[in-house]
Amino acid sequence: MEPTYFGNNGDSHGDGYIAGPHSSSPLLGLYHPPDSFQGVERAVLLCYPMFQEHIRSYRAYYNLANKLAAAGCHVLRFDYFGTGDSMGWIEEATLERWIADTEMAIDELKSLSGLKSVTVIGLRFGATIAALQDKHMLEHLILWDPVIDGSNYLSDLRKIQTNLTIGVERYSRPRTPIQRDGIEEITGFSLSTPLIDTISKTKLLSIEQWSSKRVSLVASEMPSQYDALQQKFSDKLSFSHVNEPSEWSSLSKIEDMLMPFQVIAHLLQKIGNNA
Amino acid sequence: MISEKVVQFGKQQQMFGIVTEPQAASSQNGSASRSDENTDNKPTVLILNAGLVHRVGPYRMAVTLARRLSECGYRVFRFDISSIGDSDGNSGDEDYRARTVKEIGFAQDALAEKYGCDRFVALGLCTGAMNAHVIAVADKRIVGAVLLDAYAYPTMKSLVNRYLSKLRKMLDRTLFKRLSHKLRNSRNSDHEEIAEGIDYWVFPPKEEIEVELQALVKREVELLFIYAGSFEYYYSYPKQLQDNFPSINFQDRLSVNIIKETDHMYTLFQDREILINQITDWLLKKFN
Repeated sequence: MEPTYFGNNGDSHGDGYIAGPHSSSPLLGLYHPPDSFQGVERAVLLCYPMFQEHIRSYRAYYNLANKLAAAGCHVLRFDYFGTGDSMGWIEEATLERWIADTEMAIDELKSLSGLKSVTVIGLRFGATIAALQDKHMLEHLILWDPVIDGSNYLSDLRKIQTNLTIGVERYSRPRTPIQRDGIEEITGFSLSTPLIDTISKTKLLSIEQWSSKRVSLVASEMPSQYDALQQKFSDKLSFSHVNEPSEWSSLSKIEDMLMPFQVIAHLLQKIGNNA
Repeated sequence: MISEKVVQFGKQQQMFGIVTEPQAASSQNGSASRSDENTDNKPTVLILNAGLVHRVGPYRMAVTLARRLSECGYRVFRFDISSIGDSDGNSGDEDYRARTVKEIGFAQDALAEKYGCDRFVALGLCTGAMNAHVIAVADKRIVGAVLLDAYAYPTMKSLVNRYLSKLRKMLDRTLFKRLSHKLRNSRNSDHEEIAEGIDYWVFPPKEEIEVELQALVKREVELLFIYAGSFEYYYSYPKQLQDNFPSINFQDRLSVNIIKETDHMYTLFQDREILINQITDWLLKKFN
């Protein structure tokens, strides 16, 4: 695993330093070169989900990246601006910035692997962001439990936030997040009004054309929520249900680490079948 | 300007962390006075994993803390021990305590080699607090420890507080149920699920901790214990720790704070700010 700093048209810093949110390389990526070459070379970008879901799934993506590298893939995972180890604060983040980050991460992976085509696996809102990028024509876009409607997603997160702050186990008295201009606190993260507005307007169903030769949707729970998406894109979208619920909308699970063994096995099989 | 760098360390470079470099200029942002003095005298702060959460910490709190401390001139290293975040799984041939000492020792060795660091403050929440205690006992390079919701042992006063609190919560819950039925048509079932308290913390034997704390005080290790309000079942009043260990003369080496409102994971922004300010103020007071 090799760290790589990027974020300005793939202009990496040799020494790995990042300096300030407006520097040329504010994003941290972790590149897993292939353990060995096994036939057709493939490059896979892993797009994390957002907020607490990012923390929940961090180790699962580490495991997935290692398994993909062991299967001969070049793998890159990265933290969006204002998340994880990358520069900036979540309050400063915008959806446009995260889409641009994804496009730059694809450039970075192409540069690191020397390959021209990339497969993207996105989880939850990371899948949605990957679907919104249109700079690159992907080889394969795999949407894992994607957020199909941003406003429902925010509504679920707000429900968690409400139940969390009134909980008599977590707090001795119901709590109210401190009021800050233009900021709403949702599941422990401070989101700006412009970010919330753009997330709430995001709908996968409004995508007219995918920037990917193939699109797969892997659902770990509630497969029926994807019926409309399947209908609209019946000619291009391959759907699979792996019954291993991640319980994304459950308050009691928000601090549990994700251990999706079956989904990871399924994804490996899917990527393997691409060759 | 924030400056951060990946450090991979351990015998096979199998462990992973991020150094945040001290910033030269002083800052007006914190609640304590800042200094422009040479940062070489300041110990390096090690932020340990909180449970299974990787090095960014719960709700990215470790990143905020590291960058805030760097403004005050501290070098901070937040890193993953084996099997967490980006560090490889452990070999499984040692017990947990021995492995913890070895791995945090690797982190200190790497920082000593790269930056010449020779004094460290270990900081951790939950299991991270226990690990901070363990490394402080085992490694003389540790000159300070910040333990968030570490161990606590009952006293007569804490037991009385515990049962009074339980009674108050029962009353609150009854009142809450009545109110919530009026205010809302339905409630999330999760809320019911977590409402019952579970006594799931197991602390090391008190006698063992007593001997170890005694040794830390003798070595002049500075200690800051911070307890969350939600931890009041175990720790309910500021002097409980002194009452737990009356044989130890802590002198002025022990500071204990309770952040009454907060939960164990510091989920709300305002609670994290209080915590970060308390840690910053204590570090500046003890190691400026």
